Amino acid sequence: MSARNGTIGLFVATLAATTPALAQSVRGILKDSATREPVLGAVVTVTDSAGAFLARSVSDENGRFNVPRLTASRRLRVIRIGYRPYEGGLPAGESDSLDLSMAPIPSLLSAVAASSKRVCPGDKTDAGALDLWEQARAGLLAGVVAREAHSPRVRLRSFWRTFDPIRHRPLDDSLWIKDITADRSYVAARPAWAFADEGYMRESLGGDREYFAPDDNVLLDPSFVATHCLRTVAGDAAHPSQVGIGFEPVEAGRPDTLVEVTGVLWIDPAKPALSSLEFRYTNLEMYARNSGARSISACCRTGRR
Amino acid sequence: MIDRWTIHSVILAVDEEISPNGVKKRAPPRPSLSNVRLLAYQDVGGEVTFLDPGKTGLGETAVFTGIVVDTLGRRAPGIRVWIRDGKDTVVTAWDGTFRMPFSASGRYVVLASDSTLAMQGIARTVPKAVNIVDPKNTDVWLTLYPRSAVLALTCPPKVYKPGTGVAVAQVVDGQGAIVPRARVDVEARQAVVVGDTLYQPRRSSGIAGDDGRFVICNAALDQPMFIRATTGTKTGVAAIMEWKDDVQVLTIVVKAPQPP
Repeated sequence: MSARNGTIGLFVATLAATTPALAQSVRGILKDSATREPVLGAVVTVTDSAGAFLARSVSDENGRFNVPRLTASRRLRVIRIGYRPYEGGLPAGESDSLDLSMAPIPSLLSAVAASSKRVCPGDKTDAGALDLWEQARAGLLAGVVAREAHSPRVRLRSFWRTFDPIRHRPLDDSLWIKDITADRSYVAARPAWAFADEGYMRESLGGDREYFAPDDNVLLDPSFVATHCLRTVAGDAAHPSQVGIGFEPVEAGRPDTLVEVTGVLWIDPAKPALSSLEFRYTNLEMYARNSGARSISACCRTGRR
Repeated sequence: MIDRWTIHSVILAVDEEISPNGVKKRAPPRPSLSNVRLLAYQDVGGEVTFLDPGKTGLGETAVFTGIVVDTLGRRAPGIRVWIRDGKDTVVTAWDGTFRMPFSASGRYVVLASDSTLAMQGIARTVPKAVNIVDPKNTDVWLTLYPRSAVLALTCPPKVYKPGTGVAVAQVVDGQGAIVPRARVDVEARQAVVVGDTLYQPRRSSGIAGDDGRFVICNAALDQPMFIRATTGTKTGVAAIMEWKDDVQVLTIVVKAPQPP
């Protein structure tokens, strides 16, 4: 992991200097096909002829990207929230900068209006929610890749508070502060497959409980779509002019004690970028019916400065 | 990148259901459990702020900064803030903010109180644990509870009545060392006006703690109070002639009797 970061970091450093080392990379500029504006935050992936992953990076604020070129590099794939994915072959041999046009998706909102039906794993009928989910995945992936390339220096403040149940007065209040070079702000404590198999709450034999929340890697994982039904949600008073992807767990074939998550991943279609994730835990006691989580993602921050 | 997140959950106590013949029954699904009690709500979360790489703060003097507010959210000036087991205290500014230098990484418990109660180490805030991993500037938010809420906890359960006086005292010897487990006698003078003014004494006594400290609760604010501490042959006296505040802090020095 750190070795790969180092390699990508080196190429970014040499970009401004325009040295011969650039011959070792696939570079180019992404532009919006309609406005000719640069497209930032797109994930550019280089694969071999069979589609196996080789390297990836994310475009900067000028739409520039720079991915290491390996001997087997043959194909290029670009995904960006709000745009149709681009896929194409790489020109053989060393070439000048690639000029790629990204076609914007006319309106995420119209896609929502057209379909509000639930799409469950295995359904083939209505692709609206799945299309939107693919868009959201592209946005999440851009964040993950940007952090791989340029981990920002962040201050992490985490807290743990307990309140008495009647007057909501604090009983305990702890705060941790840590300055880190973050690969991410927030890490789910378990891998995606563990959530799919064992749920989002773990209870020890003594009754102690741990509640988990999915991070972006969990939402990106195919096992999340495989265990949740998706539907599109129109913006409400708390989320004006946003579109949401609702998710709820599939029940069939899973234990009745499994604690799952049901909620909405909200997208701002104007930017377009992910804005927040809100969910509730299912299958808990009556007292715990409002247990859940909310996380907010500041727009457009891809980790670059 | 996710910038802020909070997970809300509950802390529950589940009573075990055992049938009369001692067989533990299989619990029903959680949503239909009835033998559950709600102990507390808990919030776990965090947030990140992006740091400017040019200003990592290394080499700077690290400080706690923070703000003290009352239970209505108003900023509380003139409040003394300290770190548990630390020597230094700082007083909040007019806007309730404070700055306190500290030296090393570690776990600190930050407390705040008014100056009178702070002298006896009685905090009016929920102890706030702060873990400093890197010695960098740290923001702490403290909520100050009213005195009456804290005095009720300082006195024995269900003893404190609002509007009465509380004296917090410590017994020391002539060298300033703590005198544990001294016998304490208290006498309050109550004025009884029947033609002439008579004083009817109210007496009470008890034993100070191992740290030499004791507390007198439910004192009438309009009555003078005399306190005598005795340990072995040594005695010391103190008096509160006038209650200027509903909390009084006393130090009683015990001395051996002077030979005649």
